[in-house]
Amino acid sequence: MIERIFAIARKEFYQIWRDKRSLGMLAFVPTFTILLFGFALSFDTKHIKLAVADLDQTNQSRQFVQSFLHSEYFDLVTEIPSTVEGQKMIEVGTADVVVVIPVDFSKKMIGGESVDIQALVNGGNSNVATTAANYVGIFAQNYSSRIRTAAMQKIGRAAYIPVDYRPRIWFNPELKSSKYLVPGLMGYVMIISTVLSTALSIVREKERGTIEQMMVSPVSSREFMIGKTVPYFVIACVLATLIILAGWLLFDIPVKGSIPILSLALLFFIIGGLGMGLAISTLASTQESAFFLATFATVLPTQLLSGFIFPIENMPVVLKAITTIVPAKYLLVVLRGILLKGSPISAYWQSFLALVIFAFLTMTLAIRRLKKTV
Amino acid sequence: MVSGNSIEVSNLTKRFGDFVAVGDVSFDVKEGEIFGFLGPNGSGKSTVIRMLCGLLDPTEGHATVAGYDIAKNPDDVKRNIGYMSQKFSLYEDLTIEQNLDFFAGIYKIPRARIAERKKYVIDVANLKGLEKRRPRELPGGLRQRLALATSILHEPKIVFLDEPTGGVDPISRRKFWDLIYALSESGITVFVTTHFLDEAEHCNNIGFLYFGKLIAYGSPKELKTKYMTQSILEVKASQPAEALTILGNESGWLDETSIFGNNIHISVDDVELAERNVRKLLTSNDITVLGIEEIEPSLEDIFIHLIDRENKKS
Repeated sequence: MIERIFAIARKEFYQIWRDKRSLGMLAFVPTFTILLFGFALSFDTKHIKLAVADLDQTNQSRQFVQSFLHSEYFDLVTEIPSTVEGQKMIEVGTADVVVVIPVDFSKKMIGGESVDIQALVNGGNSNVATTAANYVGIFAQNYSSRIRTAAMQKIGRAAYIPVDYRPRIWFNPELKSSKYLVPGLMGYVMIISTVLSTALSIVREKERGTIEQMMVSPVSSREFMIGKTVPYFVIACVLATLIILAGWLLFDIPVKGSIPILSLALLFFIIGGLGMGLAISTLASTQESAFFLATFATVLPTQLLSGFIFPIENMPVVLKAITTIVPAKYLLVVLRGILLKGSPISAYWQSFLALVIFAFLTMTLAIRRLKKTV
Repeated sequence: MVSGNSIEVSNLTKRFGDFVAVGDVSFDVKEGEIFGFLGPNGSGKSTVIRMLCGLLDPTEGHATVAGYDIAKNPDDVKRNIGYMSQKFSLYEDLTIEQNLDFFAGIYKIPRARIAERKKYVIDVANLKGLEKRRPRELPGGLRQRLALATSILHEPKIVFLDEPTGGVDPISRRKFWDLIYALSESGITVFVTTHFLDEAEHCNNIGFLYFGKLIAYGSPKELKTKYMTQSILEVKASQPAEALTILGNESGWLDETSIFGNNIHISVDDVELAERNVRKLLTSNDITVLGIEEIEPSLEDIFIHLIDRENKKS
């Protein structure tokens, strides 16, 4: 059994090595996807383009504006003389937010009166607009509470803030979306490469007729299946390791939790992916149809329904139900748990179990279906 | 294998639903002989081969290959046979050596013997010095020889060749058949399907399959006497096409008419009566008879005769 598996696996390695184009795809697609999604796709709202109409032009008003610019959330595009220019700038898109400081800003403040600050926000991108409006509010509030504390101290009273809101965000204190996305990317890249490569490699043998030679030999369907998948298993394991390393080095996502459990989860996921590829190979007779089926079964569900980009909690009931059969969903829960939170297995054991079931189901299905064809 | 037969087939039947692909076929193949398996496309040849190679279970009947029951011990069957398919099925993207190593591995050839067996294949297929080349770089004839030699890498007792000479030039075909003779002489049983009837003449025994039924079985010589009760006349005429039409409309004193090149073959019971009739008929139609001669029937004549008989039955 071992000799035959070895012979088939060795042959497969030669073929992979020989087929530079597929090898390139196997290396290029994951790299490209990770760099693209990891760096370019970001939900973080930073460097909001800010225009200020400081009608007061006093020390206080300048201090107020400065408080915005100390953070990396706002970039001051320009100072403008009046609100009218601000409206124009929002229309053409040179500014996202225009803050208007009234003429009596410092006068009222010194006199102990409240001041109204106007902020015009471009609602074209609702995501950015919500965040920008919130940020302006937070900065304004911070500024007022500082003024207030100073004023209280002046008259010899301790600062008193009825509700002091101090959020502390766990696991991802800077709220970087890459930390949220990269675990999803791992699942995405892994499922595509495992399913696609196994499905294509088996269908290629069908298409070229080389599978016939295997069928008339004493090779059993199990030996054939194992021999064919071992190389892709090895490649997937290397790929998984590289992605974890890339997450750590490029996106500052160290493995906080248990490395053995992480490896096991990835292992089951890879086995499941290979099984899925094998099962698909029994449905397709040409490489084109195998490619189509494999992509259809992996790319869209993993992108849209795994919680990779869009949170599952916000989905309509029907879609939510469909996500149950998207294997990457479970890997994501486990990965996020281990990588970001360092949680113990008790926190995500259901998802871990789902991965085991995924591996078991697809492999059983593959063995059954392959027995009929091989 | 006490019987000296390497393949024994009795009442083999394969049905796909209502369709009878192979119906009640029986024949034996002796050890070391070249057995030609003939029949038009779709006659069930491949189904029989697939059953004999242990890929397909028969619906009824049974068969042994190399002494093993095809339904009960398909794995033993597979260990003892070589198979070369119609379609070239070595890996085009691997070198010849890598291909041989692969087959050595899946047939579990003992390590000590691998080098010797590889050398044998390379010698037999005339590929010395080309071990590092890939099959796609070889001309058709060499590829065919490589495929055949590879199929006997693991020293099977029987080798199945499924239309091995399709798309190969006549000289390469000749060389390929020399290789088949050599294998047969070394004691390997060769089971070969072919379209070429001249190739069939080279076989020790022939089975002719037509719509799933074995309608003829025996040596080429036996077929020519056993199945051919009539005589064959070769008619040479000035306008062969018209002559064929005229003769084709006749019945009673002649059975089948067919054209071979510029000559017409007719099968008849009474040679003298037929000769007179042909001359009379053609001359009255202004066709010059250039010659009438009784000939020994070729396999082609026999198969045409047999097919005709089958068609008349149904």
